[in-house]
Amino acid sequence: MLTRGMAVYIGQRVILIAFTVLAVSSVVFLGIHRLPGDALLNEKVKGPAYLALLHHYGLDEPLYVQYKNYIVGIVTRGDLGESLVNRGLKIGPLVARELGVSAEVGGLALIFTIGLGILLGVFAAVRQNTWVDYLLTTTSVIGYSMPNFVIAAFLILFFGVWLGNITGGTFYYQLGAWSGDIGQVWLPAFALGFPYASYVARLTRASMLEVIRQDYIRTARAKGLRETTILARHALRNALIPVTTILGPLTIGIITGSVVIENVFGIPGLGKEFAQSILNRDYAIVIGVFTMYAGMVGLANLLVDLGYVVLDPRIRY
Amino acid sequence: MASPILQVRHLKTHFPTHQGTVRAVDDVSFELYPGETLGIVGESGSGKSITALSLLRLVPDPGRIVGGEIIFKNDDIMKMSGEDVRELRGRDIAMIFQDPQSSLNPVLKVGYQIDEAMISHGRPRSEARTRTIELLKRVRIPAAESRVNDFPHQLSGGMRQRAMIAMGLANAPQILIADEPTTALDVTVQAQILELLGDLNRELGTAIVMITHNMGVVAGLCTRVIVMYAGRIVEQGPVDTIFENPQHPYTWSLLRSVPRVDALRHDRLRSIEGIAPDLLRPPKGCRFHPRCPFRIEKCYTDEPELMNVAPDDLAACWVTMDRARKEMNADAITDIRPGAGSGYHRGEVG
Amino acid sequence: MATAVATRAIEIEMPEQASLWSDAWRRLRRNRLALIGTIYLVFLVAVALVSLVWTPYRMSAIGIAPTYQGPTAAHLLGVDSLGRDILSRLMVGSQISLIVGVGTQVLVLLVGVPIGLAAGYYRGWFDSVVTFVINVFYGIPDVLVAMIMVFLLGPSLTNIIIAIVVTRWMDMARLVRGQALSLREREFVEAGRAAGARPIKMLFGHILPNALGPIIVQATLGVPGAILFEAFLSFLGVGVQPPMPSWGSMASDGVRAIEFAPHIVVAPSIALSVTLIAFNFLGDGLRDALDPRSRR
Repeated sequence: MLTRGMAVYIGQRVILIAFTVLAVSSVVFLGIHRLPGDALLNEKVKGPAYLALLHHYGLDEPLYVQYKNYIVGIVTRGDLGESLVNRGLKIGPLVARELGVSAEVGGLALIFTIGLGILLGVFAAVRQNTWVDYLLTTTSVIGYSMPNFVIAAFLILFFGVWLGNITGGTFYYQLGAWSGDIGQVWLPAFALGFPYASYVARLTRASMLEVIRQDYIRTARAKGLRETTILARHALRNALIPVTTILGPLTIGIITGSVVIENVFGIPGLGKEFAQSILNRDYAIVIGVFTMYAGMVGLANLLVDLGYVVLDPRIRY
Repeated sequence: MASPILQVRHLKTHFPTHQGTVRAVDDVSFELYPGETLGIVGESGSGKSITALSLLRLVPDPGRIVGGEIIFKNDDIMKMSGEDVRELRGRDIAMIFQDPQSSLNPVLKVGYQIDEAMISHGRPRSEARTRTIELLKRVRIPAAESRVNDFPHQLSGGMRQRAMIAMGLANAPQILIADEPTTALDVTVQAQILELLGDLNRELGTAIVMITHNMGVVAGLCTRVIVMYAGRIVEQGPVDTIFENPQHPYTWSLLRSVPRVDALRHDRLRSIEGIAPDLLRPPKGCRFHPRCPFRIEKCYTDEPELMNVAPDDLAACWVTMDRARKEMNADAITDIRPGAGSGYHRGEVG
Repeated sequence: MATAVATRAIEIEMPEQASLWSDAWRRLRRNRLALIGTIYLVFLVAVALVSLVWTPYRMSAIGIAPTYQGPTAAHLLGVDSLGRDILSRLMVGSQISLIVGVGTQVLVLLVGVPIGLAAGYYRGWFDSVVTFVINVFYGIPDVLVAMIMVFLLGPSLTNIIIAIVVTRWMDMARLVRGQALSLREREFVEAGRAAGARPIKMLFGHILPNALGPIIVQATLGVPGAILFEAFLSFLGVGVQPPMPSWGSMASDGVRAIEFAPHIVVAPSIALSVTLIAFNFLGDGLRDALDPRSRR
């Protein structure tokens, strides 16, 4: 399967991703540094201390030199610079740690989204026009229409407040202190993934319905295959092809959605860091985290494209 | 004559719609004998495809088989459980379809699709693969060993149809139903496929039911033929007899309208005037009467049943071509227009 | 013998001919969910218009009741963390959501449609450039970029709209381009060109009208996306600034007080959800009504 055409395609995509990441991060870099010089430094320092500070951060260099140094630093040392607000706090390790946390929640949300979404979608398609189907179709629209923080708020209200109250505190969702164990992760993961799971369910259902009407399904029946085999082996693979199309935007949605969800649940992840740093004006962190995000998004898109190839043998580059 | 392996009695398949019930197959009865080639011929909407699908209970929603028996070797398929029908499909009775491009799953390898026809009926995997390659060779696909790993889109139209035939014959069924297998193919490829089917029928003894709208296909491959119109059988009998001396005006018109290579240049193309009947509200009396050149009074009111109008020839007609030739100068008719022969137009000045 | 009688014309009952639009309208009317959605949206617009001249209390009035107090007769939806009437703020918030939702789509149409049409119809180098640009934009995380943009440019409604348009224009452009690409292969386009019609006339007189259906659907479905986007930004504090009451920022306030004053988060949450659901129902209804392939 790894033909020359494929290798060329992957190469092209990697270049596009690299280009995008560079372009976007440079635009952000430029934008931020266009602000008046000392907006970058919150402290009210004057004189030689101020110049020393500028020099420490390399802010006294021309803009393009700064950017060059920055990129070189990332590529060669994985060095994302130093926090402007918390002197001495290296961004690289910070980001790495927080990425782990975000990935845990995001990854769970992704699995949940795709898994549950596809399952429900198939189920609704097979039970078309029954009450199960109508229920699912309507709920799915509601599901993906609601903002994830609304879902999160209602979950907290239910599990954290109401359930805690009526069970006298025995069942209680701990807000605040993050211990990172699985019990604390599933609620935010659910809130994060639910809108997308609804969308995937809807899309899978529509796609399955179309696929089931196809001639090759009729052939499979005429061969005497079991209905479950037909669904799983013949129908599903074809039905998932359109679903793969939205996987890219879906992953991006989960990544950006995590910014809000981490905020709500107090999860010390990348998203919370990003939002906080913007409000704190810690632009070094903003740029560092953002560059990371841009890279992740590009990678996600590439993986989705490759997934496409695996699913549909008609696509070859 | 040996006893039939398939007996269809009074089959009725209807489609309920918002505007009423479409009676796609309305009381069809026939028999199929072991090893024979039976053609079912008719225009679009005649019910021939639905008849074929009904045999294996594959009628698509919202269609339902509402009546009749389909007896395969002493068992009524209509009374079988879903599981038993599933076993029957692909093993005892197989079916291949019109468009091999859309009838094969595009994301699965061709070899796999043929393997699974056998595996699902109990054959072990390794055995199935060997036999698949054998089958592909049988249907004359070159380089069979490498073709098994190809996807359908990598094969040409003719090869795809051969692969479908291989899939149909995988379990050596006693009956192969072919629903317009050549319609979607080039003319030259059509001829090859028909030849292949004829050879396989002779070599394997598999009975073939060939659904088609093309009289030429029937003439080339089949020994017996059933002519369908508006959901019913209008004529039935050996191909030679029917083609030489068709008794039902519809059959006669069909044969007449086939363009001939040796026709003179100024001879006009003949078509049967009118459009296919509305299966929601079929015409009263004989369903062909609105278009029939030889209709009489009775055709408007009474629907004819299949009758023995000649030795070996069953036709559902009050007039028959023999009488039309004697009394209405049928052979002189150039246009196949309603009432052209009998001069009968009810309610008009004649 | 043949008689010289005119053959009676075969009478076939033809169904009443319907154009795409009247047919679509008829189908839309039958869609219950879309109808409910439209009724709600009309109501919402009414509320927004009313709130321009009147609200029960001034939306920025602080401390007119004990802070965090729940719903009472005087304050039907209760009062927030600064003692402001939630109902009044909710009403004004509808203005923001509608302005952002509709405003972004108008701009997206103005930007995306011409670009998409030109790229899909003319192809060539222009199309390659446009496709490349679209792909680049799809590679950026929209919310994050918008956050940075709004923060740098200043958190005004205009800037929010601009940020959203900049990060989401590609959806419309890609759709329109796809439409233009497939429509240009149709026979009526060939016929038009053979008749010597000028390209502009082809684009706007022939291709655009045929692409209108999907465009309308995309724009309608783009509104809830934009409203959601703005709610996210405001929730995180990078959107509309106080005292302007975006539903997003109201919800954000509410989440902070969720354990002891749940009513604060509930009102804007429901307002947002219902509005988004209504737009989605309407958009779905439009899509089903305009799709000639769908059954019924």
